[in-house]
Amino acid sequence: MANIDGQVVSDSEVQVVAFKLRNEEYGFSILNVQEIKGLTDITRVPFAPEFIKGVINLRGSVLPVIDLKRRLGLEDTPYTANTRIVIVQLDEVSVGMLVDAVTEVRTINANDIDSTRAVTGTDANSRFISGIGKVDGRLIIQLNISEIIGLTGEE
Amino acid sequence: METNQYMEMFLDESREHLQSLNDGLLSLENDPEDLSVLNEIFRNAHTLKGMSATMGYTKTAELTHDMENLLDMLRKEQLKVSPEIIDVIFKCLDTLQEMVENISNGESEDLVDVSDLIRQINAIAKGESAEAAAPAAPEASAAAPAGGSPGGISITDTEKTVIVEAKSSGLVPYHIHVEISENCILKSARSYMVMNALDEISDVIKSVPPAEDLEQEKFDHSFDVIIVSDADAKAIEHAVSAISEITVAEVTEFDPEKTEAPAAAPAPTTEPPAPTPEPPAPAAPAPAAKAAPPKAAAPAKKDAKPAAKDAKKAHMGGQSVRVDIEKLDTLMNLVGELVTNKVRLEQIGMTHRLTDLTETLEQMDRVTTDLQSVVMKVRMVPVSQVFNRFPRMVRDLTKELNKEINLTIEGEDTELDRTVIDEIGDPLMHLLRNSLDHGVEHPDEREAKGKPRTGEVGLIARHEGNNVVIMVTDDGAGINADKIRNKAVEKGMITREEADALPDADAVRLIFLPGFSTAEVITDVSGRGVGMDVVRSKIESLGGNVDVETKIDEGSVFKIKLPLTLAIIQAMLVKVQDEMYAIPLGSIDSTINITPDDIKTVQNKEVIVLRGEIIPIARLGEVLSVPKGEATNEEDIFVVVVHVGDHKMGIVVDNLIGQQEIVIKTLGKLLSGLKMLAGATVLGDGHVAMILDVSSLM
Repeated sequence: MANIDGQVVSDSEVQVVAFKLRNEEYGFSILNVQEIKGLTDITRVPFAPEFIKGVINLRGSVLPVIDLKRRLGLEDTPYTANTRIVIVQLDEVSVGMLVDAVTEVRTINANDIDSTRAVTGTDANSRFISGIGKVDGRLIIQLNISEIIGLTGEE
Repeated sequence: METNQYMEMFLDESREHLQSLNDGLLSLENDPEDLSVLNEIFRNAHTLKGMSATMGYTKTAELTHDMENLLDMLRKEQLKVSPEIIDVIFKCLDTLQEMVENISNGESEDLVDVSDLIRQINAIAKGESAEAAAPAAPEASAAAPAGGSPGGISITDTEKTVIVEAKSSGLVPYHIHVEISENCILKSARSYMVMNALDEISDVIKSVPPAEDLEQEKFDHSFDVIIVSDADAKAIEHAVSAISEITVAEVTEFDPEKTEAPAAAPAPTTEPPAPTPEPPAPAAPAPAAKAAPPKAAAPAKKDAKPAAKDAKKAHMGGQSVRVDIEKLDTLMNLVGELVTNKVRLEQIGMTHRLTDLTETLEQMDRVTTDLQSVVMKVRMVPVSQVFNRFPRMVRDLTKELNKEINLTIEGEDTELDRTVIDEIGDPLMHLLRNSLDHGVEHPDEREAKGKPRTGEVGLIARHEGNNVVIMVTDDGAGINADKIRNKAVEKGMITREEADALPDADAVRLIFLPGFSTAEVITDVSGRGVGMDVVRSKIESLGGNVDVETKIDEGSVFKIKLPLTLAIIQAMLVKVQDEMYAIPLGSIDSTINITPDDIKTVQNKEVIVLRGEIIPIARLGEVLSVPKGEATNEEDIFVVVVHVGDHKMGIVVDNLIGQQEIVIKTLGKLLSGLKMLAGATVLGDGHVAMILDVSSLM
């Protein structure tokens, strides 16, 4: 399998960084994940959209952090020792995503990924979801980063 | 040859050379007799030609070559500098600029048609040089393609022309046969040294095999070079044979006209010389209409400015490196991070009372401070980067407007942060266009007013405290305050009473108000629909301000004040509940300590009275909807009085932390355009604090 700096370049498999939001498991494509960071101080930004938790200092750069649960309309939970900020990068934009815990990096066969429509129908939040992967009886909901960041989006 | 890696360099340098060419040509226009300027122009054109030929841009090279020929004729006084010639050369520069931009955009240089220009150049060269008795140039193009091969060296027409011309100006062409020792290991290095040595004392016309092959050691143990030089054969021979491992250096005079072989040189080349005859440029006479530019406006007169006669203009190219601005930003970030970590270490030293650590950190503090200031300085660039595009614009516009205007530039060495430089061009351009169009009157009008026919427009930069001031001045008609008043009333921006009550100085400032689109004050030339309010908002977005002073019939001064840098500013840190905010010191008037009793209300709005002045106040916590913590000390209220222009406002905060230099970071795409925030900064302890945009609080 062709391998360019560690990234699997196969059509039939995708690698995802899997993480938890409440009891559900979600995933970002590993190609978009820049790093995973422990919880640090998040500075509130007045007048920012509601789903933006604030900004953090990432080695001297100021980075916005999205509260994923709030973005996906899930109920809030308090921070725990497992809370992480997943730094994702899309085009030139880097953003932190606040998640409850990072579980693992999984390889999912493309055949095991269902399109979302079957499950979510016309739910307003379905645009955030790009597919649902099945691995060992677990479901990993794959997220559409560009919709979540919402640069083209609604606000 | 792999040229991609040189692409950036080629583009950058081409632009630079074109800029110097523009500059040089402008000063030549003012003083056609100045040979040193002409030489400078010629050198620039020559380098440009060489570079584009190396990169394989034949059309660019071709055009520069013809331009260079023309310049050379001027230089040798076979032609006289005329407005017509200057115009054609300017046109060449514009075309070349276009070609370079096309190349830069990844398009082909061929998109631009140069044949017309080349025809014009040749027409000028021919038409005038006929009586100037310069047999060299025209004859060369008529000569048979591909000269003979004297000494096994064949030369192309172009090379022949160069040699003939060099000869006519007193230089001697030589053929040098060089042999390198059989034991030599680094042949290419030796050949390089030979070429270098020759370069110093002569102009190298050609080498066989070509320089590329020499570099790659694609030759046996000998090679041949043709040069022109004013040194004698002995000196050249000496220079070459001084290099070690050179066994034979034979210098013979070279005659391009004859094909006889120089006595000593047995043709050493292994590969057959490839003559590349250049197609003779079509010498059709240019249509008269094309060649003759409108003679309407006299070029900016060489006037009583002897100061401009600086022979020291010869640029001393300092040693420099090109660095991507992004790398500097990264460097800046890293230094910021270093400082942040140092502060953390200091805190550890304090809490654990580690004197050794604290002392070491003091040393480190000095180093990081120096480092920071060096990085800041690296980002600074002289305003000449913006200024030097204006002389050309002024020249063109002056012609277009049929006016006589002299532009004086002062203080172009003044340095500003790169980010400011990038933004300041358009507003300046607008102000200049305004001055040219509306400020300076027509020559006849000026004469009627008893002023010199030539108007003076100035572009002046200088330091003023922690700011850089850029002024656009003119000695024109000035701005009529009454006209502005009437216009403002007409537009319904103020009432007649208000207008009449305004002093003249304030009335003139009305032009900066949005919506003051003044068909009378701003015509098509001065703005593509862009008003002065755009100039103002641009400059204010850079943290600066703009003001105007004017006197009827004496002229106007537009004064732009800019911060030295946008990246680091002095700020006051304040606290509201648990949140920290930074307020730029530049907009802070004073900080005061009041009690709740000092707060009065006017129409339900809270105000305070400070030195007899009524100042509205805003509680920052409420404005920014800071989550409420426990009640804070209600007895002591801190107010930061800020101002924007003449407006003042008090900002009520919970605590003043202190003054600090902060590095401004943008909030990024995702959070752009948030009101009341000008950005964010990372504090010494690693926390992020928001920077308030004071003007939007008002």
